[in-house]
Amino acid sequence: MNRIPLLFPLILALAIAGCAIPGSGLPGDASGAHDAGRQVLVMLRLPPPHFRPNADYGGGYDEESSRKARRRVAAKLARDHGLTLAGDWPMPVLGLHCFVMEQAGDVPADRLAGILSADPRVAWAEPVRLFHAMGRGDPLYSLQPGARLWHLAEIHQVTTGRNVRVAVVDSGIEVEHPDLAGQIEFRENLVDGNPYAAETHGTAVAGIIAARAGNGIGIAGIAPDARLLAMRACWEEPDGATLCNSFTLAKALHSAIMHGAQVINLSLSGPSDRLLRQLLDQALARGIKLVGAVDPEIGDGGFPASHPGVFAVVDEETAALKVNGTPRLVAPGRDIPSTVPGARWNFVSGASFAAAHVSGFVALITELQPALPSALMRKAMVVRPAAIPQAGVVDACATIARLARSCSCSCSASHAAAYASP
Amino acid sequence: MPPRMRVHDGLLKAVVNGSIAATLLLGADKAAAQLDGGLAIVSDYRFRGASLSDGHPELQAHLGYDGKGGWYAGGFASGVDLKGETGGQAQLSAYAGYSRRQNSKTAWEAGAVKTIFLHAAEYDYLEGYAGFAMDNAAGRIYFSPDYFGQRARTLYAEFNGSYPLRPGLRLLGHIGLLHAFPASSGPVTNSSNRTDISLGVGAGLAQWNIRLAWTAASQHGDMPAPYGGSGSHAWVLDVTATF
Repeated sequence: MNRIPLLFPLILALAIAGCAIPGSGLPGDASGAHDAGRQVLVMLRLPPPHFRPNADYGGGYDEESSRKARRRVAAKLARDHGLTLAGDWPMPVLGLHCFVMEQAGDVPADRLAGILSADPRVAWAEPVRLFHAMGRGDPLYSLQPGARLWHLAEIHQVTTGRNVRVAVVDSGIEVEHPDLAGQIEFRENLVDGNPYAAETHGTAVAGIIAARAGNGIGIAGIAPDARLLAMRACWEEPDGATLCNSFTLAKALHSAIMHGAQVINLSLSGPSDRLLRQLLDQALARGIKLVGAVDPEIGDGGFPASHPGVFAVVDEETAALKVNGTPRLVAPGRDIPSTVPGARWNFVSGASFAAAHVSGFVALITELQPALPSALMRKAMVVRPAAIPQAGVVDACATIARLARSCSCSCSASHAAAYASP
Repeated sequence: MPPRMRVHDGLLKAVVNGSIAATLLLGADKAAAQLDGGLAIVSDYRFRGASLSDGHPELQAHLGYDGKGGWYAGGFASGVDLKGETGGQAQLSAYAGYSRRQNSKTAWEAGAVKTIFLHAAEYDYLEGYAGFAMDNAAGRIYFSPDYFGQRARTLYAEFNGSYPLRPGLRLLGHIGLLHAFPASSGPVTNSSNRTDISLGVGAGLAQWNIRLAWTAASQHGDMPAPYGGSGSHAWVLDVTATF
């Protein structure tokens, strides 16, 4: 039988090839560690998913061919504006495909973003912005653990955060750490050109949230049966600072949403950002609980902690500082023992680690009431007066006792209130 | 062919023609238009669980166009080997439709696809569809007034799901049910059903998409299609170069 009539597929292939850009893969390092001032994020519209006769079984958004189509548009756009492409990430949650473009000159990034936003091919554009982790520069102290004041042993008789997915958007978590082994369900490196590495900030945050309990070593996480999603969006600089940028954070937030995170920990701070705001809103619309660390050096507490719907968290010392903004939760954040790279433990301090406590706490509540909306969860939290009117000290034990009803916790308000003053 | 089917056929043709025209018109906004394509080789061209290549490998090509407002159109070509037919055969499909996001999780769509077979024109047919898509799942219902030109009306419902195992690697699943309504003439005189399933994995490597899936089907009654001849189940490898 005469078969495989190649003519028609080949004609189509030639037609397609004529449109193709040789080597359309994107080059370069989009980590933005040193290039943030010269980079912009350019959003192209991502068409809704639809029928394709040759893609019966995908059901998802990650069709490489349509991604390449947008890359061609982006490549042309970059050429037209004298830019180079440095990375991209489809974000179907927003109906956008985000591209990083870099200039060789020194046009202010805000102005460049404005020019690109006016291009009809572009949905909108904005500068790449830098963020930093909230543990930066805090000294480590060898003091007693703070988590015990939450009556963890009693709480864990009622809830351990079993199977609640907590995304840690941070620097790299040491997956093989003996106190974290088996706790990490998924890990992803969102920092291009910078391979995954075990780093201090992310590892410490992860340990506070979900270190293994009862294993005879180290510490017990606030929610030891939670499942961690390790989203590496930040990286350690040689001086020890932990940095992220709006592109790596956007990728991490999007990935956390797509992987079914129920809680997202954001122990970092920076300027407000349109793309990140949209992703936070989509996460909240899906019932995901967001926890952010308050930056005492920024008037409104910094972003994302200042975003409506985010649980904004401060440690005891920061709580004493008079800052404006939304009400915030006070949680243990000074002298906290936690996991650090090299299969070690150390003491850490800062709002980052207070936020990690609240993320674990939210995971505990989520196990008890998975469908509780974020606003109602906030109302259900028992808080005690803090040093400033807008803050409340989290009383984890009383909250769990209230929500579980059958809890036999012998909570005492005085334990939690001990955190009220620095 | 009964007059009623002509009405359906005419309606669907109008939908296809109208959709293509609307897409081309909206395509005047070239700034936001996106064109994509791919060239593939499949170890066995399985369509709804049945081999259209008699179990042999085939080359396939696809060209897609997305306009700004949610309109889309495209073409698909594949070698086929329909049982009992002679001569070099090929399938050409043209489709057009409209998709819209309902919210960040869900999108819906409707459209139509016209399929013709070179050197086997008696199997040409038209099909309309509507469905939804979510993050990792999609479902559609298709209606044809003259499935594979066999003078039988059919409904096909499918559900497709995928689960990310790790970046670039997905678990894929599909289940579909084809129902043929009885017709006074043609091969289908009683209601008949055909179920097909597929399970596999898909990987993306640079510009290559690779999919390996096990597919199977079971049939009750006569089907208005040139099905059969190559077994009810098979492993299928699909390697696609995207452009």
